[in-house]
Amino acid sequence: MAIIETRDLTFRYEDADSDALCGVTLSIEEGSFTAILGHNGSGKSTFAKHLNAILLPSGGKVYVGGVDTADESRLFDVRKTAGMVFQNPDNQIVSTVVEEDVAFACENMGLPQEEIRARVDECLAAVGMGEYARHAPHLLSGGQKQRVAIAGVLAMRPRCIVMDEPTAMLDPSGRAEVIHAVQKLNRETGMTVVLITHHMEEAALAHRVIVMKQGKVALDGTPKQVFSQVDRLRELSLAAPQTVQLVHALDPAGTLLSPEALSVEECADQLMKYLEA
Amino acid sequence: MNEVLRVEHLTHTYSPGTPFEKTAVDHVDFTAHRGEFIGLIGHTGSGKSTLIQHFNGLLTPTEGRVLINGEDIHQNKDMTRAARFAVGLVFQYPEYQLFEETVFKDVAFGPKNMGLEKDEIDRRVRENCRIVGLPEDVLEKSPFELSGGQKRRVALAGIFAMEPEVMVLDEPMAGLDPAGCADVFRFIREYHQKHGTTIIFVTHSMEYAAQMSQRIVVMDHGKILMDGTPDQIFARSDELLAAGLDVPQVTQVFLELKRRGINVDSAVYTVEQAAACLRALKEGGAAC
Amino acid sequence: MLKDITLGQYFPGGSPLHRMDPRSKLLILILYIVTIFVVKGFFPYLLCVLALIAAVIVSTIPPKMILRSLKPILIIVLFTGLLNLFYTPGVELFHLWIFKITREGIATAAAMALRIILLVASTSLLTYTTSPMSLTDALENLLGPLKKIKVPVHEFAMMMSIALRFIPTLIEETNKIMSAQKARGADFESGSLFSRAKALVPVLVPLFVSAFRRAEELATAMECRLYRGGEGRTRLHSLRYGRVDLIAAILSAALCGGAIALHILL
Repeated sequence: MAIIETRDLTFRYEDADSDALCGVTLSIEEGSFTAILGHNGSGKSTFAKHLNAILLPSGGKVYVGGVDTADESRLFDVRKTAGMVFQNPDNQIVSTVVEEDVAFACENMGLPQEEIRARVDECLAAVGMGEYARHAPHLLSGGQKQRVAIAGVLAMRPRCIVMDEPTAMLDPSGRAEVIHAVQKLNRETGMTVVLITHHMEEAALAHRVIVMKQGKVALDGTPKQVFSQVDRLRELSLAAPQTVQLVHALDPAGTLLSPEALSVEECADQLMKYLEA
Repeated sequence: MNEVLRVEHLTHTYSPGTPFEKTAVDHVDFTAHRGEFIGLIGHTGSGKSTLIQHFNGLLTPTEGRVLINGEDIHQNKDMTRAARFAVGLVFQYPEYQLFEETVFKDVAFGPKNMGLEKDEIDRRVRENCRIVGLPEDVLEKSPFELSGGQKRRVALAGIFAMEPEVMVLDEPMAGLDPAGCADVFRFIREYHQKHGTTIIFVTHSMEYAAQMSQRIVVMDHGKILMDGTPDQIFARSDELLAAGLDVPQVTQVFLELKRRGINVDSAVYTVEQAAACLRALKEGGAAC
Repeated sequence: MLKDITLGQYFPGGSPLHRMDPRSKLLILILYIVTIFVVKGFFPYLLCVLALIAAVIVSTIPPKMILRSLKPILIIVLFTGLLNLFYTPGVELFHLWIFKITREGIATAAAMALRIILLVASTSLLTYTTSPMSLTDALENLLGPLKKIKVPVHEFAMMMSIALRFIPTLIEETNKIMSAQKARGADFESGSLFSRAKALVPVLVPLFVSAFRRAEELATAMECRLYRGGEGRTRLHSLRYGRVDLIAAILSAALCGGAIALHILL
């Protein structure tokens, strides 16, 4: 079942000359892990902001959990269904204590105290930050802060979590922490994940990769389908992962080797085949 | 080669004598020569950010000396000030330091502080804005009207225009998309070629370091762990992984092949090298 | 310079002082301050000083930190002390040019200096042992009745807690911007007062631009986490008076009563 559906979604920013999104029709399945790739200005962040009713369509429709995001009376249902994590971890943490920050959404929902306590503990554990419950957020690393922000969104018990470049400001270890936490959530709790990113390696971990360009969907498929199209990616001025590029360089026509080599192991398998042939 | 920057037994301890005491740089010796392009690598907390702030005298060493062209920069106030201009330092996310009404004035801020003549400032601003690909008509605009990528260019031009002898760039590509990274990459290289400036390029990414530099310095726990050519550094890829650094995917693939008993060299870090090496191995059977 | 500011710093811990309800801490602090400004005389002050020392020991906060909180007010203490020393009329002890020192002068100067020191030290003890969030909660709760006359107590408390949340972030940011501008040759240390003030423009402009950007992003993030004002909000930690608060209340009443009694009797 689709949890997010957009129909011919069009959006233009005020005083802009052209549309940021031009007729995007997509549906995202419940329980899936989708990565949206693209350059700055490709419309990927604008798209993400529609999934949480931060922006409302200029044309077309967005349905989140079956609710039209333009229906103002259902705004809270939309935001409870699709939680949003932003790029800068510093600018989404409200409190000076980690657990109080995670509790923020629950407090706004008016939940009873015991319920808030239970959810806070559960969500911090889910992102592996349980032992930091009483810490001050400004002393945490970027990756840890971002995991706290994820826990704060999880506390709403959303069905889907939308992340707008959550790793752009992090160092490699912070990036790995966040991506592992997200993968685990998706795998273990069936949480739908929409990850906006410009890191290929992160997108390669998703079930589905959507590449956007100039407000349109340029490519859509499994990571293997998308990343094996070395030439098409180059046209979109994106580089395929090095593993794919290497296999492609050895066998451009793809007669002998499969270009669908995303992991180091898969690539090594193909290279063994190459050396033995 | 002429040495331009040298640090001797440099140690820096934050908040000494408090429970928060932390030695970020621990007895480091390092020399940079004229015209070199050096990649400085290390994960967060390895001490690289603390180290580079000593190069232009922003931080004072707890122990040890910093020398520019053989002269201690802390011997007197004038030398310390001169160090600011001899070593240009571009911080992470430099676009957050923009403040002037126009792009021109902002880029001119550094050169003006250097006390240069008006004509010279004008030349430097225009020339360096051209290098970073800012069109003439942007010069009179407010930097706050520009896109994120353009702001980054303005900030870079601001340091470029100081035409320092050594330029240190801390993660100049952080947060940019692949196209933006490629652009910044190109400007830095163009500037290096044009002025022969010594460049110290700080990054988390072994991939960038390998593509750009003739020499790579790896820091870990406040010390220099490795210092050598990319080939020498990548020959020790397993140690890099152990130090928590990402090595390029192709290097990882070659480590995997080695593990499977294929006689390949793990000092490979670009797709071209890897492909050439594998072709040679297939044809001649010789190790590359 | 910036790292000397200790006000608003919180040292997490599990001492009875940490466990007390922030409302009782706040009320006791007010009572204590009123007491030190009402009473006069050696013994009442001795009692107040001893009480504070006892509280510091119970709190497990290093005494060094309390002393550090006093550093920024040293000048004020000296100034008030000197002013009182020279300008209190009374029995003359000493005369030097236009200055004369009186017995009353010494007494008042010592009393004023001590009052200020106790005021700052006790307030620091409160902020050291109470997280900023629970302090604002306490304020919101204590001022709650004002909501009835349309005073935006919740909004005020929320504003304060967000300000507290962003102080360390913005201090760090200020340091970063200053370093970046110094690297471009900005000089904050020399020149006249005017040129130094002018040198701050390259720091303040980026700082404000960034603060506005942060505020905007934070507002969106808060809305996305369903914030819609104070109505219908519940809390993770609701405030509750416990046994520690009862003990503290009785002890403070005894202190206040004792100090006033000593003041009247002696």
